[in-house]
Amino acid sequence: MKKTVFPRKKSRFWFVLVTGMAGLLWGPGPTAWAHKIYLHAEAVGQKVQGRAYFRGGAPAQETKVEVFLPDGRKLLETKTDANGEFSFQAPARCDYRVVVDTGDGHGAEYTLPGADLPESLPPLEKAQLPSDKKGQSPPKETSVQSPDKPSPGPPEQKLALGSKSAPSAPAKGATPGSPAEWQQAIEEAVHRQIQPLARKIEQMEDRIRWSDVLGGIGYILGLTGMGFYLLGMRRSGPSSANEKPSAGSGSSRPPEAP
Amino acid sequence: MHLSEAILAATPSGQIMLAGGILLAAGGVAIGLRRLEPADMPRTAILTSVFFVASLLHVQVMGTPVHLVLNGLLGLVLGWAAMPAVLVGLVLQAVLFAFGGLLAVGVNTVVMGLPAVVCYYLFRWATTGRYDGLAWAAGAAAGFIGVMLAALLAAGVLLLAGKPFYHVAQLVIPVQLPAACIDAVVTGAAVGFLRKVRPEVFRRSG
Repeated sequence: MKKTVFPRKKSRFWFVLVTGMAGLLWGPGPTAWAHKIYLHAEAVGQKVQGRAYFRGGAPAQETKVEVFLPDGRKLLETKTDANGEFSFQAPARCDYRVVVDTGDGHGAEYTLPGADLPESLPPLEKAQLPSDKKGQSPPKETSVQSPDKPSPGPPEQKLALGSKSAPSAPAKGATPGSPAEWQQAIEEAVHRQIQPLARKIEQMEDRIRWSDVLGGIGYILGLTGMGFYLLGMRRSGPSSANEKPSAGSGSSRPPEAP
Repeated sequence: MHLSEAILAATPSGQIMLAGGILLAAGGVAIGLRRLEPADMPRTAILTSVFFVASLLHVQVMGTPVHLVLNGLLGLVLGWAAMPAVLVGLVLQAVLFAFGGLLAVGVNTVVMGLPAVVCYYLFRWATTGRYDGLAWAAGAAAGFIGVMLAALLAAGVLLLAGKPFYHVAQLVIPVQLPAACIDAVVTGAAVGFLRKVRPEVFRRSG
């Protein structure tokens, strides 16, 4: 009896497994794929603006953001606002390593190349860092306050954008300010124009890459095949399957690491 | 659930955790491979695929995205072979989707693989037993405990790496609780289904 029933059961098992997995894959949809945190930062004039968000685009709110100098010193610590955005004033023209940490083990880091910052900023050696002299830090230094209150983030940023767009408007008309002002206005404008594009690229990157999923499953099957191949090569007789398979599959697993 | 290498590598104690995780994972995987019978390899491959895909499925629960882990199921079916299965799944996730990062694969293998092995020893008897209801319950319990134990291990690693306790406890445990419940339902259903359709899956000594 069992012999007649078994093949049918077997095929049904595979059918249900495959359809079940397909259903699971399609069910939640790509937008629900989160957890992994993303971080992006860019220079806008002398400021560094950034955004931390989860896969799918949900902002990482109230998340700790740390900024490190190239020599490893911590420049400042701040928090993202309700939109997952943060900003800080760059004291020098150097690389900044920005690290976000949700606290539960998820985090990301991003290094903003110093070349993105305007040349008007001093190099790191000559720059006045807030950690060196607290009292004499430049007046624009707002970053130190933001950890206490997350709200100063967006208003400060909008204020900066607003005040920058003010000089850019007359610049169109007649009176161009100093070259530095010009440069800043241009940078602001370009930043605004590029923003939607950047968002679009983020969204595209967020999409589940089904090819990668299928490729991963293919890797697993390929590994198994390799294991069997090595097993077959090592097996001298049909009965000695107990000790040697472990060595065979043991050497078959590592190759996928690179 | 996937601990990030960027966070662990930031502190010296975190680096020790990364290195220790690699060593422990290597040991566990060696045991798993030693116990892996040739006849079990296709099964291991299928469950590795399931694990690999399951972590990519996210469900929104009360605003927090959680994903299936299914390490309880892996443990029940594979026993110690769950360790290499988890390792392969995590390596692929790290390479293809940047989950956690390659350096953290060791730690993550221990965090998710060890609870699988624990589930194997705790609940194996029920899945091979006579009663369907009991097997279902064992599967659900394995799913729940697999995830919660992994969450506790992850929290422990973070604490040892120098994260403030209240922060970790606040963030890891409540987030993983719904994940564990979902895992429990899925694992229970999977065990019940497998028992009906392919009972021999649970028979062999893994």
